[in-house]
Amino acid sequence: MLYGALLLVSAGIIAGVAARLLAHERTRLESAALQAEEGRLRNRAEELSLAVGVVQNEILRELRAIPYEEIDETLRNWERTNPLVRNVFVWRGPGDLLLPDPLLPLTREEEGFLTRYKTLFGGMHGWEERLDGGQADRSVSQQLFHNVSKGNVLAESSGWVPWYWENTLCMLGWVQRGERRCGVELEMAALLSELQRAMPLDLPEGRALAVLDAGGHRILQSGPLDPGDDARAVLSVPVGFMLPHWEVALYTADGRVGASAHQYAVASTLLVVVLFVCLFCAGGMLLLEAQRNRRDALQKTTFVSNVSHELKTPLTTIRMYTDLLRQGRVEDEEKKVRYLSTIASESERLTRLVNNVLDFGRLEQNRKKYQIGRFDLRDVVAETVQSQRLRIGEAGMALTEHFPSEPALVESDRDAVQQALLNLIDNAIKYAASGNQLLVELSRSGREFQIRVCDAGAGIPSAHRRKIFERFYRVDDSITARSQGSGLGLGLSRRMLTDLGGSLTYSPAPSGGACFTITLPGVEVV
Amino acid sequence: MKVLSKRIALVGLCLAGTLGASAEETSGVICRVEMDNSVVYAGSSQRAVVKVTLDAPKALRKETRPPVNLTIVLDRSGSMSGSKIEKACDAAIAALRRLGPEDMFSLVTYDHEVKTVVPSQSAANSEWIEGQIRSIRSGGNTALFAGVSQGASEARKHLDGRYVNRILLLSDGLANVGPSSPAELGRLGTALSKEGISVTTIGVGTDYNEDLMALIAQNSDGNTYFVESSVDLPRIFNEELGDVLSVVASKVTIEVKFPKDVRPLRIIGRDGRVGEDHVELSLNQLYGGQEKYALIEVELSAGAEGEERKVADARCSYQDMIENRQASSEGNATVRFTGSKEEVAVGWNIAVNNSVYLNGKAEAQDQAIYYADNADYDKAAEVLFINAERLKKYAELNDQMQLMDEAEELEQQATQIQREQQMAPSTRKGMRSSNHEVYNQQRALPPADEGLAIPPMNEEVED
Repeated sequence: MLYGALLLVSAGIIAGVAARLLAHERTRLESAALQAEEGRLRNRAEELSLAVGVVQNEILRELRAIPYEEIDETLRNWERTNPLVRNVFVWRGPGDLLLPDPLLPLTREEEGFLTRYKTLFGGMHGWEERLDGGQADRSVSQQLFHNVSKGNVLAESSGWVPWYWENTLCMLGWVQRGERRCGVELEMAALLSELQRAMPLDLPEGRALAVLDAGGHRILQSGPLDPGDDARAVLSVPVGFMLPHWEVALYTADGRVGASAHQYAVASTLLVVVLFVCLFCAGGMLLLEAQRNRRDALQKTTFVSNVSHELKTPLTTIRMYTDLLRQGRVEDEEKKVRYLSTIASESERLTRLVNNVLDFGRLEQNRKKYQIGRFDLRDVVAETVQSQRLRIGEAGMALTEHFPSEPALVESDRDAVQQALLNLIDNAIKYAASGNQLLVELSRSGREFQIRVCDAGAGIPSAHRRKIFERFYRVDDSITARSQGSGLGLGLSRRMLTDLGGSLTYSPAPSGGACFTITLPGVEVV
Repeated sequence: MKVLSKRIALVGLCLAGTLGASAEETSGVICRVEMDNSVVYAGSSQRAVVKVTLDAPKALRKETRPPVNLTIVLDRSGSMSGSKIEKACDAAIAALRRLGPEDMFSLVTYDHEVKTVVPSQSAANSEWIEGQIRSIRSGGNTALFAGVSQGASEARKHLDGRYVNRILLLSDGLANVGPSSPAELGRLGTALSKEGISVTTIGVGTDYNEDLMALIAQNSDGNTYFVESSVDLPRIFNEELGDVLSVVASKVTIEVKFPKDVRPLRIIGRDGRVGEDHVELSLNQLYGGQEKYALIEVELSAGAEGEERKVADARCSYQDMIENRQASSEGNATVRFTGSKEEVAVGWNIAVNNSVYLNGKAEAQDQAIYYADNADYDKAAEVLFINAERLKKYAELNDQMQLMDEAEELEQQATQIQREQQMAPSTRKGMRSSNHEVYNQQRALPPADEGLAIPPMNEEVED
């Protein structure tokens, strides 16, 4: 009990520590997943930013490549045919717009264009690049890209003006050509359409990636998850200086990054429980094993003392009677004969005991050899009962015998069967003499023969019934036990009978005593 | 069947008046230029309307038609579930079956996420494609912008001049993922039109945004349809495909030059560039046997009696899809200045005036929508009443029964708006799609009970 409690506590402590470590690991994993996800998101943002950058740079390059005298015509043509160009302009200074000419009738689009950039074309606003964030915010590749763009621009100044109009981002690219500043307004819808294609299509279940504009509206979105209108992003990083105030954001179904918390909790709980159970079981098994060993050792000690005692009792009797006879102090012939027969029976008992011990040793080492022969069970039973008749009578027991009229032929080891039967009768005499009844019955049941030895003694308490066939086991195992015995008889008998293809079973007798049944296969008489 | 569409019975009328027009090429697109009145009063400056009409050659035999690059962009959001998505799939399959092995077909679906169900490929592999279409299931939100973008990227795979490029966008709801304002989607339409891709929009039910759908179509020179019941979808697809399969010219630009005593003021109905002495317009595609026109309001400076003045020189250049080559045609118009009232009265061109009045009606309806959106229903009704009155007067004077019907329709709409103090969604959608038909001269849908034939209305008008 104490050992069990100790085991429980120690296993509990180890499992607790494991659970704590696992929880720690979870936090670590989560932060690692968050970092990895953020890295991925940054890459996405950079890709987007670069995609925009490439478009912008290409437009500036083409703007610079237009021959000076063809600027108006080429720009007009771009406006008609280039999907990425929304509007074009040629500007000479504040209030001096050459294209589109505000004095001519304007298209609706051009009117909108001039309204949007009124302050810029009116000179109320600087043309310098208004970039979001400082250099420090930019990734290496963005800086490289920017420097390359800048490098190209050195010959003729140029740039992009990010322009917010009615909460939407517009972009104006320009190149200074002599005194004229010509440029285009980027078609944001076409750019977004391009960027939409750059959005990943293979996001796992329960995730969505979105690009948010300055107002926090999702303008691009991809992934199987639909975050809903008021969903909050798990992670978001700025797209970069090309798209000021824009962000790339990640949404997940459970609002977490990495494996779901639930899965992790289940897995770690399972792990801890398995650990605990393993520890507890292993410890328990060790404890049980130790206990069994201890019991075995105790039983062996008891066995040795029992056997010694068993050996000593007949020896004492034999010695006492032999001494009496040798001194010639017994003159009564009848007494002499009685003494001699007692010596004989005691030595028989000794032989039986020694035989049991020997057989036990052989059986334990699997060295027992059986002498198989054909014989009539009736002879063996009658012979054995006859040899014990005197003892039975002395014990005050009334013997009842039943034998079949036909021969009961078996093929078995005669001595072993006799020894088993002897053990049963011996037990009955030893432990059930108070019942004053002994029944020895040989009967046939189908192809088998049964020898039943029933007494009217106290019987065997039900708690012990399963164990009586174990070696060294005795119902009353104390040294001070009233009856003597080695605890070998029943175990040995059953073992031998099993080896011979038969069995030995116990059943309570109807009158309250014990009933042992030897079963042996019969031989077909041809 | 409740497709609200108005037939524009102008074909016959236009044939009646060909004053001042010249046709250099009879096999290709014919460019005609007409004045609302070829005789004007001398001695004072005045306003006039120039109508530039493009007549596409009649429908072709099947073997000679240009190959089609068709992309269907299908809304599979939750609201499409049930019979709507089924009918849409049926319609897509019916459209697929009308294509030949030289045509390209692709199909994109969108809810909150875009999926390319059929990547752009020859329509010959129809068995596999049909299987893919049948597997479409509905659910989710409406990422319309992303859907069109993905559709466009499929269409771009075969964007050489040989193909007639067309995206068929079907939606029954409001775009609620990604850019979703009419202006933004309209810009996308404009950008696509520059690439030679037209977007035809089909709105199903009464919950979609008709402004958005009409604007994409208008800016990319596609058609727009309003379908109240999904049962009509296969018929609409069929109709649309009839148009797509009969495209004879694409990337059409009209450039009209004016002499210095004629000043262009504005283009009626369409958007285009008005310069000091010229006007530029572009159309994406012309269908066989169809007439498209542009109305330009100009100011004529005062002329002397008896003076003949060339008013406009129009040049139409286009990609001839049958011959697969660049082609152009030209036309011009003149006016004569007179002091005689009778001469002026005889010079009126009914066809041109009918177009002007029809566009006027569409403009009035757009205005009414604007007022109704601002909950000023009385003002909306008033605008419609005024226009109806004007139209009625004109129709009576010139005995134009068709326009009389239009005027009565306007009156009914006005009365309804005034009485109910609201504009029913189906009325609004009907107006938007019919206005689009007028502005873009979309081939009008015949009512179902009359079959597919469009009877020409030949009306000889003496004024």
